[in-house]
Amino acid sequence: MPNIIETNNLTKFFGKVNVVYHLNLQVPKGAVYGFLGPNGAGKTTTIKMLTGALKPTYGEIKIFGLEMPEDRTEIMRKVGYMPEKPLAYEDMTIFEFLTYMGRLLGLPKNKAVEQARDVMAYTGVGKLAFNKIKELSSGQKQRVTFAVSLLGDPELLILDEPTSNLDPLGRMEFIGKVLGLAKAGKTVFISSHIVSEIERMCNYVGLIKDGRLIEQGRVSELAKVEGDDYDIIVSDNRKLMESLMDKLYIKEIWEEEGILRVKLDERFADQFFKELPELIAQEKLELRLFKPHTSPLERILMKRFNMG
Amino acid sequence: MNEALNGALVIFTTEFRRLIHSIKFKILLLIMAFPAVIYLLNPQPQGTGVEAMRKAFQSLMIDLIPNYWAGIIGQFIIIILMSDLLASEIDKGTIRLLISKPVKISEILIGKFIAGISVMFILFAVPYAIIWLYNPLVYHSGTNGVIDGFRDLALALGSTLLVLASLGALAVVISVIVARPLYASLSTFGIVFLLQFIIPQIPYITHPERYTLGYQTIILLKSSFNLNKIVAFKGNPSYTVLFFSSVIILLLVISWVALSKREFPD
Repeated sequence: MPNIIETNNLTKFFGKVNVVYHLNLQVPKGAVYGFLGPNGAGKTTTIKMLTGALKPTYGEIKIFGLEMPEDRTEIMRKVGYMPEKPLAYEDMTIFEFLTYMGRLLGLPKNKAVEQARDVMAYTGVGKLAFNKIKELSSGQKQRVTFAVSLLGDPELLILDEPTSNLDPLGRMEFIGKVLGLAKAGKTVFISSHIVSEIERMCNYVGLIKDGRLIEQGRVSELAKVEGDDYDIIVSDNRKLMESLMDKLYIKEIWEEEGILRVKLDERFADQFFKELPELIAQEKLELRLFKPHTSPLERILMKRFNMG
Repeated sequence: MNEALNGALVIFTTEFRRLIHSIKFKILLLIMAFPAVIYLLNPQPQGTGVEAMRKAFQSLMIDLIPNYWAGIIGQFIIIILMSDLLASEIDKGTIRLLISKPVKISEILIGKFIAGISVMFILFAVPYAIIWLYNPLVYHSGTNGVIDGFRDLALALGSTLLVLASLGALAVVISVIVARPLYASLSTFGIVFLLQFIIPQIPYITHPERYTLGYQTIILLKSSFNLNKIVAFKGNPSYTVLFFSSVIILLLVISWVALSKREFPD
């Protein structure tokens, strides 16, 4: 699959401070790529370089096979960008603002008006069309910025912390929309520090820390990293706990709010997976829950960022 | 529509509409119209007919342009207007919205600059036109007065715009570099004040009065304002046109280079 975004040793210094270092991103066509990292990791700086607001100190950026920033205008015809802070002209109404942004994409006036109406309806700000942007809440402004990124039906969406000002319902709605865009064949590049969101939306992930890309690839591949903490609920937790207590593969076992938490010794983990079903059957217990204590991405993060 | 011009045209129309709907524009217009309103209240006509009317119009312009419209007050207003065009976009970060669209830096610059100049045109056209339309009533010159006076009006307006557009272009350069509207305005005003009133005072420079924008505007008017003897103003209008046109082009090129090289971190 060809890469829509490709960077080669992308590096950015602000004075003597190195913010992004030798970043080699590879975002395949049709991927929903989560760019995950803690605050200050260099996510926004990278996105600003991808969209031409900052120039790399050295290194290359290729989007659709074209060079950024040299071919910025050509690239931006096919890119929708949503900045981390909702940027808009406060004295304009939503409708005026979206029409203006549409016209800057080269759309004729009637087409720009039509698209402004469509994206307002899609992002749920249609009822506020003639409200001035300065009158909106930060969540509503974020929806407007998302609407701007959808104008012109772009092939690639670059979304920087898109849910930071949304309430929980708004976040769920947003995730649904991104999944819908992915289904429609769009390539989506999303930066976030919220693991659960990335996990729900993305099939590719890049982990960035201190400006360095630590890991990159398909979530399904990376998630093969084994965890060693599991949550179990059976019909009688105490009984299972007593049966497991003396096993070689159990490092720790305790009950917490009705959930049996098991910490395994990785060397003997295979034995645990073999014996657990047998033990449950032997004790005539009913298995109600068995899952890793942390999500696959959280496990990757903990391992790669040396946390936990 | 040529695609290369589309971005500039869209930016120009939007910016122009935003500017003329702003409170700032209304305040600036009131200040600029002030001398014309005073004239309406007390015209003091000297004679009647087209010739007397034109003579009075030319005399009034020779007096008011260097002292008010192209003087310190007018210059300050132009600096406030033009400094804000790009500095506020950079300061608020909204320029990133423009950069993220297929719009060239030159289109952003030209669209904004022409919008600013168009607003400047209204700021000067309103007071000048008030006097131009009122004079035929005061001097009983009728429709002929309106028609014959139009050439004087156009020259006064064109001369003021050409000279002050160079100031506007300087404000644009500085606003791209300073990127904070207030600091950009103050820096431009400081530089202009220095160039017009402080540096010409050094002993080696003869006729320091010639270095003011007001003076140079009158040089341009000399080409056609012949009903009053403008002997005190020395200079060739063609050279002045050439100089200010070159300055505008040069400053716009510098603005384009500065904006192209600039980064927009926030």
